[in-house]
Amino acid sequence: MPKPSAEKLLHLEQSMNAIRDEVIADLGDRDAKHIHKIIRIQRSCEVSGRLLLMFGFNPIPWVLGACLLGLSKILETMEIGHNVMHGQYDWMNDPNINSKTYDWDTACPGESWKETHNHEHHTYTNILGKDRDYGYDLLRLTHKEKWHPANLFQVIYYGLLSVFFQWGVALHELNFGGILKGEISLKEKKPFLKQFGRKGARQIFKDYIFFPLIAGPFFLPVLLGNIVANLIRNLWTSTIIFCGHFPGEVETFSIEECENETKGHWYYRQMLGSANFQGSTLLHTLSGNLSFQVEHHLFPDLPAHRFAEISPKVQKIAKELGIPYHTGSFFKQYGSVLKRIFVHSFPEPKTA
Amino acid sequence: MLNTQNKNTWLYKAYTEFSMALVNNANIKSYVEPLIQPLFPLWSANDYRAQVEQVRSESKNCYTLVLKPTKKWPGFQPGQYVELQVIKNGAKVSRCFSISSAPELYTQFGRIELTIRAQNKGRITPWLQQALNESSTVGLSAAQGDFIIKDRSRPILMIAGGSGITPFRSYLHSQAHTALTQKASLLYYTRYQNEHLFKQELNRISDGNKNLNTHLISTAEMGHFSLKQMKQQCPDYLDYDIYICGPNSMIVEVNKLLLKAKVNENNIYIERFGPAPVDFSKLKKAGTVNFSQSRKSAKLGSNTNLLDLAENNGLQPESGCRMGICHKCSCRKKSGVVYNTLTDSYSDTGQEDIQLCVSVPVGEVTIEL
Repeated sequence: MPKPSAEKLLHLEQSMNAIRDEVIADLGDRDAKHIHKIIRIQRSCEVSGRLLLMFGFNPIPWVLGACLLGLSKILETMEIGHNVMHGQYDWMNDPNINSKTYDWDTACPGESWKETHNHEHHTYTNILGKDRDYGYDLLRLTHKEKWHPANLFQVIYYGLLSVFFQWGVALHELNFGGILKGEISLKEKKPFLKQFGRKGARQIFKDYIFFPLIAGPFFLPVLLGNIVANLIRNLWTSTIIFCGHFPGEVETFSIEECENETKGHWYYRQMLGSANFQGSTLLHTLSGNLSFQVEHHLFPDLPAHRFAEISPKVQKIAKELGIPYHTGSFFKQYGSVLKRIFVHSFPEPKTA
Repeated sequence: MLNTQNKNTWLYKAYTEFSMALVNNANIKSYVEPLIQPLFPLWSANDYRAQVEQVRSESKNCYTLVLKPTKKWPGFQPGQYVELQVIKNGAKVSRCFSISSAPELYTQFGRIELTIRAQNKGRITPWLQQALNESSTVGLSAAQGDFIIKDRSRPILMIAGGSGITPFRSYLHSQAHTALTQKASLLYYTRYQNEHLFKQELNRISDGNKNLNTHLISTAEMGHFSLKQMKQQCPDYLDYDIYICGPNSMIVEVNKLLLKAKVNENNIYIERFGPAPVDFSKLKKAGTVNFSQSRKSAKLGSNTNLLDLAENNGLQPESGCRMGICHKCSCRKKSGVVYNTLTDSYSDTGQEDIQLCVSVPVGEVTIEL
């Protein structure tokens, strides 16, 4: 797709800034109530889920407990952790809902996440070679990347990444690919490894040692319940993240294309590099409103529950300027992701 | 449950580590606070809370909040202040106010009073009077500050301006309970004669005690504080401990005159309302500030502290009192020198935590923000 003119990009910049300013000016009680409500629901789910698991292998409480704990983890990771750590609620001046202090219920240390995600991924979105979120150094998702025989099995890698997603995300800052290539040394990553070790140990202690132990004779059911809850969360968050950036039509950029880029071009790149999916309010909430990935990438620090309101305005501007706005049903987008992972497992047939 | 005052005990460290592992928060109570507070609004994980019992108008632009703190609240001495925390349009705001009631009111009835001037163009103080009512709860810090009567055997001279009467009211009421034993004089300045807060009370306390002289002075009629006035009301002022509370401009002026009159600096005690003014003529060069995390850089305009500067540049550091008390806006300084308007001193050049709201950069400064 040809790049829009400088004039169009400036128009885009001004229109997007205007949407942002309008929301910022309107922040208040409604947003505070929203996040307080989600936090209350999440913590109720966690407490009741953990209690139910203590009833042993009694199937109804066990299934219910594992699901409630999984739901708690989904809400905590997405609508609370991800969004709070973006600074969406920093204006509330509440030390418990602040990006400076919040750490989430995953193996990934908050500090590390804020660097690799908030800074690197959100600044260099979908720039090949700069945004390491693109394919996570693991998957080949565009013909612009060279094929390697290891890519043949990338569907399996994807499956494993999804199952252990919180650990994949946690180790992201390590830049394993860079270490293998000798671009960086393991020594440089020592402070990170220490941070990771501490956070990982805490998560393991909580889910797989402490709560199973206090269940006494029901050690095993509680342990299994926690494993299942983490699995539910891992699969779900991985799916949402992949739907946000890797459906078929989402574009990538080269470093050269983005040199000295304007804010307008940055907005343009965010729109092309992200994809939404449609669904009910419940689906949006469970995805941390990352179902509005386009809006989230345009305005990473606006409270995510606002995206549904500003989406029509963003779509209108996209239409006016002829910029694609990627959206579709959840299943269409996810199907497209799976297809893309599969197709790029193989080298492109040599054509002229 | 746990002594959180001493953060170095192994027990505290173990609890914190355990709590971090369980809920990724240093205090498990903070994690369950959102579940408990809707049922028990006076319960709080870290802070003290208080029930608003009454909002009483004192004058055209002053009002008193009558508060009933929770039992855990540790009490206070006359002259101390508290940080009051409220939610305004979803955001936590806090302001510091001197307690204007006697400790006896607290020990006997569990109540404290804060007397507040609705600041002209203020963001919080005029709103607070409307927003709070008998069903409100507020956050409250422990009493802080050292503007307390140091030596009960020496005579004291109290100089108050406007709402600066509040800490003295606490002291005088308390003395009224116990019968004043030390000699005391009060010079209370307002612009007009009818603007003195608690006029009847003050006169009543004064009438009942021969050791206490109060003088309610209108600056419109009598002029601002002068040595002549002081000598008239309190001829042996050199033997007195002198306590001053009021607006900055008044404090600066009175302090200057007292030093000129050879009053020993150690005998002067000051409580400021509002941040200390910056003498910009003292600063050699205007500061440039780099905010390292947000990769922004800004030049200091006129009379701006680092907190305002950061906010003007679209950053949202945590903030609280905006007068250098609550340390909510404390931030890591990576390098450079800042001038602290509260302590009247320059910082070290290396890494340290500074309070943004009372810091002015000198030369180039890098802040982790």
